[in-house]
Amino acid sequence: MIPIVQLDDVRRTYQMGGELVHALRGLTLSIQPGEYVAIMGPSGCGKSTLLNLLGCLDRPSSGRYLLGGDDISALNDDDLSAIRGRRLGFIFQSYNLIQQLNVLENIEVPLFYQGRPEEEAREIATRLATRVGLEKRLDHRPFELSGGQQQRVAIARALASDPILLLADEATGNLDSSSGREILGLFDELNAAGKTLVMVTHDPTTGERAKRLVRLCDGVLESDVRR
Amino acid sequence: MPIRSSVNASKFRRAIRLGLRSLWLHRLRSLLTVLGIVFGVCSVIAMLAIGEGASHKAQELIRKLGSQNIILRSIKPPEEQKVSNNQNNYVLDYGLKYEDIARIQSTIPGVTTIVPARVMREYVWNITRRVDAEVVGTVPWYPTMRNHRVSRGRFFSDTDQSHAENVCVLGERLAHDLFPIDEPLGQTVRVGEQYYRVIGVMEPLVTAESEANASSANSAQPAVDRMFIPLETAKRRYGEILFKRRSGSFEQERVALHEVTVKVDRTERVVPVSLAIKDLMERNHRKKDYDIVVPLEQLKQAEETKKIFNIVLGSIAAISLVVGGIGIMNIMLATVTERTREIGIRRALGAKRGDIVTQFLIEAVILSGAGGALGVLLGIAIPFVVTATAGMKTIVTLWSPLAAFTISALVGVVFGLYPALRAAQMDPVEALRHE
Repeated sequence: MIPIVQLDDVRRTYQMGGELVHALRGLTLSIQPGEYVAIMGPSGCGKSTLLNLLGCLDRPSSGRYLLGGDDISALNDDDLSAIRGRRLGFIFQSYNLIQQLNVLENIEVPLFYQGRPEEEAREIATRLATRVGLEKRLDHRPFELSGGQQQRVAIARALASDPILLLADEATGNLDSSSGREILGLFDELNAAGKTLVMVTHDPTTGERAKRLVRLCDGVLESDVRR
Repeated sequence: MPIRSSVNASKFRRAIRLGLRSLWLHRLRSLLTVLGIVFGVCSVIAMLAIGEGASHKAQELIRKLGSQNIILRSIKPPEEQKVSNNQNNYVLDYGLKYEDIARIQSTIPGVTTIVPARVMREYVWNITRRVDAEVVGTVPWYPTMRNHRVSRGRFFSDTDQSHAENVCVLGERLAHDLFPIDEPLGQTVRVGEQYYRVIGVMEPLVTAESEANASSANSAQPAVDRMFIPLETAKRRYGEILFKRRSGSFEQERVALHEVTVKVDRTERVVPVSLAIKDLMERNHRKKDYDIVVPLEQLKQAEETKKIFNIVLGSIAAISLVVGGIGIMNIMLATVTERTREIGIRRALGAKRGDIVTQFLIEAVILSGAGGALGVLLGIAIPFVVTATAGMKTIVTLWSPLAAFTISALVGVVFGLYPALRAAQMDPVEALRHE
């Protein structure tokens, strides 16, 4: 089976002032379809860098990244954008909904950039909004929703283009514990339905929910535990 | 590829909707941004319309004189005036002569017809109604030559001319003043001791004399209206010497012709013929007791003036549109910074650089286009208001609003491009981190 994610000796260095910062120093990691991975580690360990690489928002300085079997390192900006839109779903800590748009329109955004017909996009968005339990709030704007509801919109949006990989960055970080539990419950459901999930967190109890726990330290893999 | 293009069209529609919504979110800001363009466009259209109206009027006046015509007029030499004041019985002899006409007609090629005219300032009477008028003795082909047509009745004929009949054709205003209620045709009017039968009424016209009045005093009507009689009649009734009564003095003048209109066969020959006439006249008149008016030259001059006017207006338009464009650029840069995070989100969700450029460019073009449209509406409305209140003629040409609108939309593209490109060049990771 082709792994969803295949990282081979990936390094990422930044130029910060006069200094070279090594955020990732030779990371090799493989994620299979249907896995539910939590990435943990102290701040500055390279979690965010890794997530940005996985999300095709950034490119490795050296090494190879295969997403669903395709080498990402060689793609240009437009192709990366297309890959982000079609294969990846992002869930952010601060939801990152677009304030001018209502629930349905927010969910439609990735479909819009793929150039899907409006009727089709509307249909998909309505179905997903219903799936995350927001069928009564389709025309609400983000500021009219609670944090938990906003995050559910974000999840629906991440699912809109039926991606092969969902990336969650501290998805429950801004939520109270009950909303957080709801979101994690939703993640479990999605994983049970076959979605591959990678989430970055520093909360151990959240990390416990995942089936595989990857710990990073100082830009290298510290531990990789499957449960 | 029909599918691809329909996809693009739907993308485009959504981008426009999105742009409108973002702009609507900051209504006041958008409105203020757009004002620069609005005022630029509307002032240019309004000024062009007023300028066009003014120059159109001037050109019409000149054209009425006839672009193929050359007009010679007798003028009183200034030094002679002093002499006549000292010696009351001195007969002032000046101006155009019949010999001048004969010379012009026989020596200058290209001259087709000549209309001589004598002009006498007289009172015209209808029983007890008195109107001050110019009595013009001229030839039967005067109306066609001067583009001044008869509206009722007829002009006098060759027979009237050769028989020196006492017939007359009244100017429109003169006819109305003399016969406010009655039909003037067939009536008689008195000038001095002579009675004249009214055989026609002219169309209302602003004549050559009124042109100066029109531009200076802003009145469309000449000071006095004219009454036309056959030249032969005028010669017989008035003789060569004209008496002018002034308060306290009177003077005698010997003026054969007051006004001569020379028609040239082709427009291109008007200028050479006018030079030839000038030459001829200079050789035969010791004093400059005549004046040559070439309507064609005036027309060219008017067109030249208009061209300069248009260049000045164009520069003002360009400056105001650039200023408006800078305003748009300024606001778009602020918008891009403000919406950095949104740009990051969109990029993460699959927006290509081109999509981001399109989005912000569309906003800029909507701003400038709306400004342009608003400016066009105002710019078309203002001339109407000017015409209604100040009574000035204005003409809104089709191209001026079209050009103004197109250019203002282009301003949006030009000044929106840099902010849009800046938005697209942002690093998505950085943009997402932006607070």
